Amino acid sequence: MFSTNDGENRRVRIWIDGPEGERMLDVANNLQAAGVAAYPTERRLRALATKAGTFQRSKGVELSRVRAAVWRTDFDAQTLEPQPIVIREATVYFTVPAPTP
Amino acid sequence: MRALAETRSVEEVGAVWLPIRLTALLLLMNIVTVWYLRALILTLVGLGLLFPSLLRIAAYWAVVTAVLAAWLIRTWPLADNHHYLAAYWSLSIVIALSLSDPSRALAQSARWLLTFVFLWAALWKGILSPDYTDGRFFTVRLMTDPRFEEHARLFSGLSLWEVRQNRAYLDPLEAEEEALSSDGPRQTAFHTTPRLKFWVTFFTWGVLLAEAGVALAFMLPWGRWTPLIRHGGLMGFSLGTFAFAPVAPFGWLLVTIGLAQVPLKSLYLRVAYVTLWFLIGFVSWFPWEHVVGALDG
Repeated sequence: MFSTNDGENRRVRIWIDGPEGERMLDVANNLQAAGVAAYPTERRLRALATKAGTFQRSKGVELSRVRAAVWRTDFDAQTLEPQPIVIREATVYFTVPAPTP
Repeated sequence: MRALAETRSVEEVGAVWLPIRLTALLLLMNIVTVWYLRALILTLVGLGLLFPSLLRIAAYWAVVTAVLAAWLIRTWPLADNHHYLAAYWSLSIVIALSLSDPSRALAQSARWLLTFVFLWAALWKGILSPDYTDGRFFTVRLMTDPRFEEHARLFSGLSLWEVRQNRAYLDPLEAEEEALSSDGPRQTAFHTTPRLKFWVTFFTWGVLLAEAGVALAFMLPWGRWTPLIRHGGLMGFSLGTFAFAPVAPFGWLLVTIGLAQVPLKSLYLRVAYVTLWFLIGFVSWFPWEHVVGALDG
């Protein structure tokens, strides 16, 4: 039953790093990402990053690394000012050139 | 121990025949979210409602429990707590229908399931959660959950624009994604009102004390006033909570489990529970935006 803000206020962010710099992927409606937010172990976070990177490379996107992080938001007791806090972060490196789509 | 495949008679099942049928009815209400398991559960409970004798066979409920367990495994760790409760309750029906006195067995399971549901809920809110008792939880949830947008307006007196500004303030990551704050300057403070503070305090302590009270009532031994306190508390909590919490299946489940403890002779109490079961649908789908609109003039 409703009892804490830690849950609904968790977010997963994934960034891919390639020749054009770093950009963020939209995983807002991804079920696997939601599961990782709820239970963010290193292994699950790395698996998510690997899957995201592999999918991007299958579309011909060049990338050298994928960074995934799970955030929660704490709120100040007086002002309710939000404070995003990284719960866990993982980076997966890709060295083999991406296959031609 | 009876054979799992034996069909129990209506007389043998006694007072819990009604809650067993209500359980089938609530499982029909699309609570299972994985498409193939939803189709399977709809087929199973649909057959059970068409051929009610199936609902009095332990093996039938063992299959239903297996489907619910598969659903929990498939959606882990995202399943809601009432999804687990539904599986435990289904398992309780399997056990009860396998024993010589199903009515007594299911009433016992119902009592302890409700005790621990409310005990853990109160424990989590009152002791384990860092942001519940000071009101942060209800304030943030009211303002950030779009499903509570109308409730937030009703209990704060704020305009829709102010509620949405609060949402952007409290959820900067989401606001960044939705560009909620892109059409104006970034909100730098939280809009609040004395009315919001009053209702947040009321909900925070009202819900915590109600849950602790219901847990205590079901935990304590049977006494003269126990039925009134237990069932009155559970019904009051269910009506008040599920008028606002958008999880009617949780309400139906709690009411069904409460009804399983009421003997056949307590006709008025049984009628009250069944009435409440259907009333939860009315209050949970009530158009709050019309109330807010009327208040806005």
